[in-house]
Amino acid sequence: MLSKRIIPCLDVRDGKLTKGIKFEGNVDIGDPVDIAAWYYEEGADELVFYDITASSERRDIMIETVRKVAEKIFIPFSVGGGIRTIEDMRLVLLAGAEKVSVNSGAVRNPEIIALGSQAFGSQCIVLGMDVKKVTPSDTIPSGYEVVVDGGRTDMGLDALAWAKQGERLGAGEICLNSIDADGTKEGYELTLNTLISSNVNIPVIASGGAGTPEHIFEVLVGDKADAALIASMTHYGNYTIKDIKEYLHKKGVRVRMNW
Amino acid sequence: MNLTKRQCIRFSRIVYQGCGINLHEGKQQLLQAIIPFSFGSASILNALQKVNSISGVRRHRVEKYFRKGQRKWAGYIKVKLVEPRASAIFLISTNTLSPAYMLNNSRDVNSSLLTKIDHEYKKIPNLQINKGVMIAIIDYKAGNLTSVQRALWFLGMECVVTHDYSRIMSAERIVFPGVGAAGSAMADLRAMDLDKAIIEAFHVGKPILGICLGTQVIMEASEENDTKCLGVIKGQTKRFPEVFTDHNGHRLKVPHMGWNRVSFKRRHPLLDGIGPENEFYFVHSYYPEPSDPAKVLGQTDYGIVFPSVLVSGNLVATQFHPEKSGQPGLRILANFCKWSGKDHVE
Repeated sequence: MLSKRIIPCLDVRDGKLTKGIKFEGNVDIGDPVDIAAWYYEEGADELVFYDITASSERRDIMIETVRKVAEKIFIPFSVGGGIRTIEDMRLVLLAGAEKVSVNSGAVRNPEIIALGSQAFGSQCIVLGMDVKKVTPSDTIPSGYEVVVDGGRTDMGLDALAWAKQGERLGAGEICLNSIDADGTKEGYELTLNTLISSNVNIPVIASGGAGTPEHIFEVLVGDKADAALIASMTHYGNYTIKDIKEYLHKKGVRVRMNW
Repeated sequence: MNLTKRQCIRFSRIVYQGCGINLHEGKQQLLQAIIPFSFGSASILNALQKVNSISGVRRHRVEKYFRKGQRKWAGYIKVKLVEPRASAIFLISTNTLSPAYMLNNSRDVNSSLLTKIDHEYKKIPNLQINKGVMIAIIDYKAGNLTSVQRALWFLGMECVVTHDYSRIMSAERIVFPGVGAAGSAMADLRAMDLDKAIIEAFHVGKPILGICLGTQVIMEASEENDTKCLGVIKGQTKRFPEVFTDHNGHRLKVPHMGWNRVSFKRRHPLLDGIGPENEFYFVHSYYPEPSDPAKVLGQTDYGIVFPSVLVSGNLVATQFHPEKSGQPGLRILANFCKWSGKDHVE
């Protein structure tokens, strides 16, 4: 049977690695190519790069990073952040990424999901969603609202409806980030993950809140998520991928133990 | 005097980045023993923390040397320290790492030394890559070609991405990859006459490796867009059921995306060094089902047990992506590059 995936997420700005806590106060902690090769050796199942470079003129730095990463690692990786057009997608995929992730760009222009999946196949289109909890209302019946621009702008869009629409448009996977849980290290938003995962038929990657291997276990057991995104818990050496996988393996979660 | 773990890790990372050689734990132990011995002095040892370049690496020499039980080396790395100025060369094989020569206070590897190493290198027949022996990666606009190419480069192979008939027919072996839909893939293949080229290459006995969509369109027909395919292997490409569950009743999603195992029905040169514990990266909604069960070399369990590795004479085909499956995947690609095209264990 399919193994659950452990996916380190690397935030990149101007070609350097950062890790944001609640999207603010980011500090540089190293070379992304370096760290990608390291995670590949360490047994990561996949990698996610999120480009938070502010100016679009500097995008070529990210493309160069993607190219270097692709020469060194032989597992899938996705690149997101600032993807707004088919041309943006093409550049990233040609540079060697397996998947491209759209977030704000897709909320503002949903058609990009359909165009991307027609041009490159739905397996390489990841719909990234930043979601926050709100009081359920007529516009947001699920009680989870989609936000964009790193959590700064509310879109008046229901998370469940958006996930279903994304699937219909041709997204191959959903990366579901709870901005309430992000950076807290207190565990994933389990209710949100259950809600989305049980209502779409494409894989869901849980994101935001991982602090211990137990948190990862909680979200991967049952049908809540197909993969877990992690960042600070391994970036700062508190845990290794191996620690996490051994824990999950002992608890009976199927993970890739040989690499 | 010993290297600290930190120094070892740092060193391994630099070596890996410099030349793609993986100094796994066993080799790190050797490193522990050898580095102080080669460099000899504490000052140089301390300087290891500042190693910032590895040169003298020739990519085509870095091919992994897989034959078990032999301790011949498969490549070399030269480590250069900037301050104090010193260099050392290490020879590397799958189970050893030995200091070959140490050059203190020298800026570059001296040329007679390189000649000597070249000479040694040529004594190892399995590692020789004949010039002009080319792998043709079939280019029919389906994505994912660059990752296959990068993986083959990493293994030190020469390859071209091409849709040119004569280049395909003059290549020693052929990789037929692909991501996308069967209907448009077949239309593109036909428009460029590549369908004929692949069938012809199969009949003249060139080793062919199909990957993912390449594997699916090798069959006679695909349920995807009701497409008539190449028919190199008899049988159909089928879709996973719309709604299905695993053995514990959990709903299974389509596409089948992620890492899964393969159980192999028998031995084959492609599978040298591959075991049932290895996992491979899959992403697909369709799978091939040959009419003749003997063509199935490996099967994978995803709610249903489906054929994930096929073989037919000089053709092997995987539903997973070896170029995205880490070390076991690279191993399969390397095995393919050495394979004669004969379906028996050599």
